[in-house]
Amino acid sequence: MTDKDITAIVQRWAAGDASALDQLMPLVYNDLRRLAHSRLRNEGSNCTLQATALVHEVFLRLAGQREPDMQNRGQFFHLAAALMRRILIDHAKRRKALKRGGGMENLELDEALASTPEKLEEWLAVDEALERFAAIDPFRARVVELRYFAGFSVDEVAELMGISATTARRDWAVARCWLQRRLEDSRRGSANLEPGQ
Amino acid sequence: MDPQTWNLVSEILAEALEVEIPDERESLLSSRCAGNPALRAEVDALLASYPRGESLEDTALAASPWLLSAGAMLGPYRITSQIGSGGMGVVYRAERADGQFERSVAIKVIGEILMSGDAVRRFRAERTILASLRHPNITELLDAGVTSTGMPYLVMELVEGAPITEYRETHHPNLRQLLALFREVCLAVQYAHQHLVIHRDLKPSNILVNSEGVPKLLDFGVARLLDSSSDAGVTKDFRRFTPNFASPEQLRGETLSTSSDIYSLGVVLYCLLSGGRPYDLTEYSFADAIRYVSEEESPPLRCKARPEVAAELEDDLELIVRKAMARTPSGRYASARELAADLDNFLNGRPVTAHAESKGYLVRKFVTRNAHASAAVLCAAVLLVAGIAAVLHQNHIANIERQKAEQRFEQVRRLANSILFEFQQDLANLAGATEIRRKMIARATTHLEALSRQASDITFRRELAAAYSRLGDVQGGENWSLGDRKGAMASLEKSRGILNGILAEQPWDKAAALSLAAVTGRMATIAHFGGWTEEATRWNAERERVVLELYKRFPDDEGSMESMANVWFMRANGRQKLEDQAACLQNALDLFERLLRSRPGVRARMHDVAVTSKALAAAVLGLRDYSRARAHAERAVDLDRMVIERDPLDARARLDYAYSLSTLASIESDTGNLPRGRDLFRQSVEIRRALWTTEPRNARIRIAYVSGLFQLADCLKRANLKAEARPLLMEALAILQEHKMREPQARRLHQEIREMLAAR
Repeated sequence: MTDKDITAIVQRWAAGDASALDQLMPLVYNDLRRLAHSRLRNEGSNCTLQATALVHEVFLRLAGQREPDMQNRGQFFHLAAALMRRILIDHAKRRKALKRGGGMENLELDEALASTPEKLEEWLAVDEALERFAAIDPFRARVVELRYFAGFSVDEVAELMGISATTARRDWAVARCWLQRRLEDSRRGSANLEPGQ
Repeated sequence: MDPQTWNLVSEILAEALEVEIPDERESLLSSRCAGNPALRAEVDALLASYPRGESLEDTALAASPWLLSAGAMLGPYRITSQIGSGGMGVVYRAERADGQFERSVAIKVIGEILMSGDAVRRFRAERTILASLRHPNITELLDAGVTSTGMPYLVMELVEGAPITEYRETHHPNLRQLLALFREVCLAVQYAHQHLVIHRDLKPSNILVNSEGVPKLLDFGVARLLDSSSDAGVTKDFRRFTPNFASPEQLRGETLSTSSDIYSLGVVLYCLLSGGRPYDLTEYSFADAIRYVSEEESPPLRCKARPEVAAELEDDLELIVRKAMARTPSGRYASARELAADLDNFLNGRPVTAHAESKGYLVRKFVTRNAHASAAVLCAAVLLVAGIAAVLHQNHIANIERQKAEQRFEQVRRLANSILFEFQQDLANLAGATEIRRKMIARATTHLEALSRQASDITFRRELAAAYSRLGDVQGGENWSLGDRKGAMASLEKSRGILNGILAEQPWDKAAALSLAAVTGRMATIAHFGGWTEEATRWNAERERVVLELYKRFPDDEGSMESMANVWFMRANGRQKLEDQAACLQNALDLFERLLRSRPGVRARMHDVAVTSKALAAAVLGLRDYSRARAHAERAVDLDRMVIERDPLDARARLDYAYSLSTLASIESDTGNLPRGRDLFRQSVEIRRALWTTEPRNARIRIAYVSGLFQLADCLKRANLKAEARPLLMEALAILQEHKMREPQARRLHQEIREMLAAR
């Protein structure tokens, strides 16, 4: 199955043919799982299970998309990456809410991701910083989303964004400088705000 | 920072990051930021934030990442030494490090390909098919994977032997022995072709002969496996195959059929007979190589042939080699078996089909063989031969069509298998996946339907039967979650038909009998839960018949023990008296415990023991044998808890655990220990509720939840806590009504809940 075929199916899906998603799933399932896997690789023992749960969640959310706006395989993976980011952040927020006594909504996923508490703060912080970065540099912010939240390699990001690998590598490096600085600033800021801790 | 400023800052930053040498970076920055200290400060601050210690994926891979030293690990294998290396990678000797198997294996790490995404998926699908090749003359592919850096590796049976041409030099087999050896090679190739796998790189170094003189083919389908990683589809890379043994169509980069392997076999045969090579393209450019094999005649075999071969026979051998090496597939033998058969003909002095076009030759051959034959016989022979030639011609046309069909068949088969087996295993036990599974399965069925009309060989029929049974399980069997019992029955019926067909041809095929037992058992279960009593009885009877025969023949076989245990279990369902039920269940439990002891910790075995213990507990509870009931129930709870601790996300295990808790709870409350009973029931209901929330459309979980509510309410009522029981009953009733649940079990619950509400 080539990228062209995937693109054709994506177009049918975007045109409102819900059954196209069924055909798409087996074709992209392992790709997404690999991404989820690489995303979660260093975070706890039950990585395969986590990755599977994460991909299922992505598919459930894909199935819930009304009139997805996309024309090709690249855009499909952009959407999948955005969803993956959303899922991780939602999860992190739920965990924080839970610490404060809130309820659990998504048992399966939360249990799967349960072994990654130390990453939650980082996800939330990067998400927040990325939001700001997107306001001044939406293109490079997309690179970060694909790379950091979806786990694509630099070369894959290049392919999905339609840029050269060199450019992608440079964009990723530049974006990391900006984000790193932002994260350091906010860490210092929050330390100042909470003198009692 | 506003976007315009960032635009400028990021541009300078990007340039500065490219320059590693501090002095050069400094001069770049001072020239780009000249007269703008604020800009300079900003860029400096960002540069200072650049994270040091790049992660592995950002740095280029090491120069030869596939070079592993002794002791390095690949999956469960530990490298012990390097066996050899080639253009594509390195072959290592390795052994399993987890102590599961003692034997050494060969691991080939392909260093020139980095796989990701689609490529890995195709690689896995391909691997599954190759791993199913089982033939004494084909080295087994034991495992395959992709290293963390994306390099594919193949784990293979380790063969100690010499290339077939070397064997010829060192062992000096006579012509008959040599041809017999080559015949075995042809038949192994034929086996793989029947399984729709093409070798694509047959050459002497891939045909080893071991110390016992048995040929072993290496790397079957590996070229294809690796090609599956390139999107181009067909590779024109000399390193992926050996031009000296490649067919003209392979050199031209066309789509290959089994006929390409026949060509390569022809070249190998040429080498074996002559001791030399028909041509050497190693130094040729691609274009020249293609031109050569497409246009030049290879030198006649006889110049180099062995002295012992008489001139007349030499003609025959040369014709056989030439036919195998015909430039176009249509001129070659239609199969490796035909090539082998023609070598047989040669060895037995019969006419070789390579001569088929020449009637004169056939007559000559006939005369040499039957020196005393009468003229009449001779005439009859000529007529007969004319008829055979006509049939051969038709076969030839059919073969071309078949090749096309086989290619399509292979694609569809691979897709269907990967959908049915590969993905399903990942999805099967995860909550929330039911809907996705049903859709995937429905698609795979369509393809299977098409394939079932073409299938003929036993292996494929077995595969098809397994696929239909899997389909039936998902449609409504495994945990009845989809409730499509009619669809499930239809699929299982198909599987049953295929298996009965196999057994009609091979009456004591253990694997087929075991599958048939499983399938008819599943049908009986579904019929039972669907309330189709007659059908349930019929399928149970058929199953018993199959299993009793099987158990009689193979009493110590794990498969037949398991089937027998299942029969005891089902028999218990049919018994009216509790004593009889308990006796049947005890028999089943004994067998299941024995199976669990032989493989402790295996999930399915633990499950069998737990379920049977639970049923037995319920039966002896009815006989008021409380201590025995409690012992069995506790065994079930313990086993189910162990499963969950290992795999907390497994929805089915959680449901099982909930059932076990309820069984123990009933025993506790029946023996007057109401508080403990209530606690256990409550735990059970909580699990069921959680499961129902994640899978609201799962009918089995829904009814489990309703029934859990009812049990808890019943226990509360007995503890004189009617006020607490009432809301539970109301909730149960509401669910039954809202979902219009009609199963026998649902109706019974409905009735009992109404009665309990009325009796307050």
